Amino acid sequence: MRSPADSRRLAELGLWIALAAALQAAETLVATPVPWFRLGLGNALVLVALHRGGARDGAWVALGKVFLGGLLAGRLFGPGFLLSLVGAAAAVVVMGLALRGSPPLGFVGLSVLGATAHALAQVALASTLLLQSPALWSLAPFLVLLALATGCVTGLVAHRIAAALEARPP
Amino acid sequence: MTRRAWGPADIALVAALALAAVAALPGGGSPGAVEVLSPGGAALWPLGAGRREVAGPLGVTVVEVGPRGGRVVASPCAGQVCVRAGEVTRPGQVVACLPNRVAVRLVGGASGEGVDAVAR
Repeated sequence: MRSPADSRRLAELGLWIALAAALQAAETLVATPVPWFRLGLGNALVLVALHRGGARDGAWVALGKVFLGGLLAGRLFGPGFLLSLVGAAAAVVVMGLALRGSPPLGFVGLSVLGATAHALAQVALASTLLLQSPALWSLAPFLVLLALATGCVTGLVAHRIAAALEARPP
Repeated sequence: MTRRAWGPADIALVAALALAAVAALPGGGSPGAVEVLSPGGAALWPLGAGRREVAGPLGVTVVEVGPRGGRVVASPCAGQVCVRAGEVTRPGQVVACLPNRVAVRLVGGASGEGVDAVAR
């Protein structure tokens, strides 16, 4: 028999995964002015799950987002899928570790760390596996600056979601 | 347990990352040549070299090197991100077709492009 708290956690987790996957798939399909530029709103939901349920819940949402999002966008197991898997895994590991850091970071700091880890992990993977050349590393500073901007936005979104949930307890 | 949106630690973190990224931005300078990477290896093409074909796992990527830089003109990949990216005209810029494993990078001219920091 599951306790009501367990059921609530499970329902929340399902909701975050579904929302994050839909957001990620939508972002994949939308053309952007800068190639590879994504806002990464799905990461806001990973962060909400991390904040509310800890590292394990965050990992569920991150991986669920990548697999379901890849399925929805029709690019499961392609190079793009591999890049998003590695990026999402790096982001959730770094954010999960930083969750307990001292001094404690806010949502914006955590999100920025996750976005930066996401970008750098993707450059590392593309350099070593796909191009076998360090040429892509000269993109890294641009990508980190973009990650700082998108990380701030998604961090603020995550904070609003978490605050709304805490203002209305079960 | 509530967590704030941001505080002093967050501002310090963002500022530090921004400073590091700006410091690592590729230097300016004038474009010197175009480096084309493919599974067949790396080749340095002079500016104005024109159109050439590069083979990758998906097929042929057509690269055009004009007087100002290089671009991908045609690609066998599904996303076409590389074609839409347009021309690279500043040293350090890269346009890559990851599915076909081809990258086009502009390298600096006589002034050099400084340190190409690589962590392996």
